[in-house]
Amino acid sequence: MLPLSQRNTTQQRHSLSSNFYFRFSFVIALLFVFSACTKSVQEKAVEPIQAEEIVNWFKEYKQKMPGAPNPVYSAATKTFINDLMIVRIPLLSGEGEMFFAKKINGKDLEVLFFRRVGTYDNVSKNFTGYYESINMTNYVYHKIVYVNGIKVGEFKSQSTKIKKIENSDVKTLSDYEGTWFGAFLYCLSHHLFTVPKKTIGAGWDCGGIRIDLGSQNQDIQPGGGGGGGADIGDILPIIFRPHPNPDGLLPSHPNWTSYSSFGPGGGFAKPPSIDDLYPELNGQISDENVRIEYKRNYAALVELYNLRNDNGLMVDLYAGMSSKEFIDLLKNNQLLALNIDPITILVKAGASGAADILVQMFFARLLDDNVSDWNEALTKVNWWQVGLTMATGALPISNKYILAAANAGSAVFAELGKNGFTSWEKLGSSFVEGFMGSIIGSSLGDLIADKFANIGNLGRRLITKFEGIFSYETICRWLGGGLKIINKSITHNGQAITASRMMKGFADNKVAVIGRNMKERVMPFANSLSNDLGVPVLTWPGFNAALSDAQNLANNQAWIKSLKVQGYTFYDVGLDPYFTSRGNFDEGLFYSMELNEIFR
Amino acid sequence: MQNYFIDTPIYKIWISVIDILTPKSAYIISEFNYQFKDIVCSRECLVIAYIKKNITLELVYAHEYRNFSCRLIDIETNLGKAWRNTPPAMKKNLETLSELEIEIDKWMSFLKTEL
Repeated sequence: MLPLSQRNTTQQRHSLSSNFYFRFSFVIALLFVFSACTKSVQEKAVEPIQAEEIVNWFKEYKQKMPGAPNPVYSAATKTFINDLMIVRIPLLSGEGEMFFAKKINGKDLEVLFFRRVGTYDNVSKNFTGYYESINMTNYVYHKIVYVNGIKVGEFKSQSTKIKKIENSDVKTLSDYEGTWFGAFLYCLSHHLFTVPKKTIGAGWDCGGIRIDLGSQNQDIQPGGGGGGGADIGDILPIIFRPHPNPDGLLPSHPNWTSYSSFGPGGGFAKPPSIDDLYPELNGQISDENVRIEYKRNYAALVELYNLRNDNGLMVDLYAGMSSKEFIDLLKNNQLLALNIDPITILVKAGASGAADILVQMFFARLLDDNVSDWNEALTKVNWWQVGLTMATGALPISNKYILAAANAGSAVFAELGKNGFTSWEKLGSSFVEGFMGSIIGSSLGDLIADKFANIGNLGRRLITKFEGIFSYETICRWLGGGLKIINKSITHNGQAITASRMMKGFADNKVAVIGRNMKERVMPFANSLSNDLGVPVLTWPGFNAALSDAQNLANNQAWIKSLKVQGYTFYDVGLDPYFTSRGNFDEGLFYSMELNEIFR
Repeated sequence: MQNYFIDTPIYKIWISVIDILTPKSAYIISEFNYQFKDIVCSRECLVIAYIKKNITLELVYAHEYRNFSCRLIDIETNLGKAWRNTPPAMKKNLETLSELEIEIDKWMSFLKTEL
């Protein structure tokens, strides 16, 4: 049992007698031998594990691993087995649970992360999957694989060569986009034993302490192997039985009761839940899931801001200013915001003010013809309005699309939390995606009626303002169209011409056809389609033999772009079977360009 | 000239290709008894076709790939016929008429062993 203050002491780390599992299994063994010992030890007036101890442990853990899942204190449970107290706390994201154990009259707190991955119901279904655990004191990773309740393999790492990591050893997980636990496994699997640290703006790093696992690893062994003494292999299968009917060989389940120390009457008040934060939003964002997600992402952003300032990683010139002073400063210096880190701006503005800023920027970017990028949009923010929003907490956003704005704000906060600030373009794109991706049905109609007069106007602005950022397919999908798989065929000169897909645009009765072989396939198909639909169907009319390929291609592309802005629906008759049947699947200059403009 | 095929009006390319191909492919009629069928100039390609019994021989310059190739087509099935030997490797994105002539020469030599 290692106290937190001494947990890097090698001598203690390797003391078998101090191993939590050893003691735990010893207790379980006693339960086997002395079947009468099934009754839990009476709880003492002062419990061995104090809530404050756990909260302090989590504070340190959160500093080491920003972004790691938070504990759900309200769901904490405890049990006593002989002289050992165990507190079990699930983690918020459902990643697993944290176990805390301490002997009565003991002083060393042992901590273990554990999760099950697989199928089970604890009643009738044998467990198939695996158990994973990390001893949070010495970071030994342990995995046990079960098939239908039977242990079929085991993996265990041992930590013997521990040294402080050098800067050059830090492994950047820049391409890693997983969970905290996944990052932990990633570090382990790369023989680099470290604490995954979420770096500001760069995703996960493995940092801290390095252990060369090397030959110390034991690979997955056949059933029964890899035990090596008392450990999770002995204990956790008893608590989390892989087989619901263990033939009477296992003692009773420990009796878990609520660990009330976090609650009223305990040592201190229960930590707030996410939805307790920013109460000014409660009456405004009606959908609970959207609201909590917004609050969670915003709270994470605030945490990132504080962490950055606490660690001295950023010089915040405005750290000493109150939010009101900060916004007052921007009121009188409209361009100053361009030079301030967005995380600072959004945190200083508060949960409501941040949404107000982002929504103002969104509409400036879309509706103001003089605004062609997100930096310019930032200069259009009305800071007086933001100040009012901060003061009242009331969002100046129509109720009709407040959910879309909340989703979009969440997306921006999440982007900042994940990748840090890279550019306002990136943040703006996240906002548009979040907003347009979640504005559906009548909300879309309200948005159009309020701001754009008609859907064509909105579509045109989305396409012209965000060319090269969002695909035609994406914008059409936002507006009720998008890629559709179809099977429309005609016969021309004895040959079948088939369109197997179309990109449904946002305009009615505007249709065009693309594909290979204009004369023999595209034009005949367009003529037939025009007869069927009763509307004109366009094909590119601009080919000119007196022009070069490059000029023709440019003209063709300009024509396609002009149709996109108008919201045309495109049928695609694809490659010419005459060529594909001969092994030629080349798309050619023109068709390739058309596909890039419309379908890719 | 940086890139003849990109910078030149397409009708001029048709004429250039026909000018090059006509003398180089004359042996197809004189030595192998093929008959001239037609020349098709389109946005996608220029095709000079010859015919013999139920076989069509096409000499194809494709604008969009800027390459040259030949093919045999069974008139009854409209499917391509395989060559007896390995044809010249397809070289795409030719940039000058000189490069095109080299490709045409390779194919004309190849056709003499195939027809």
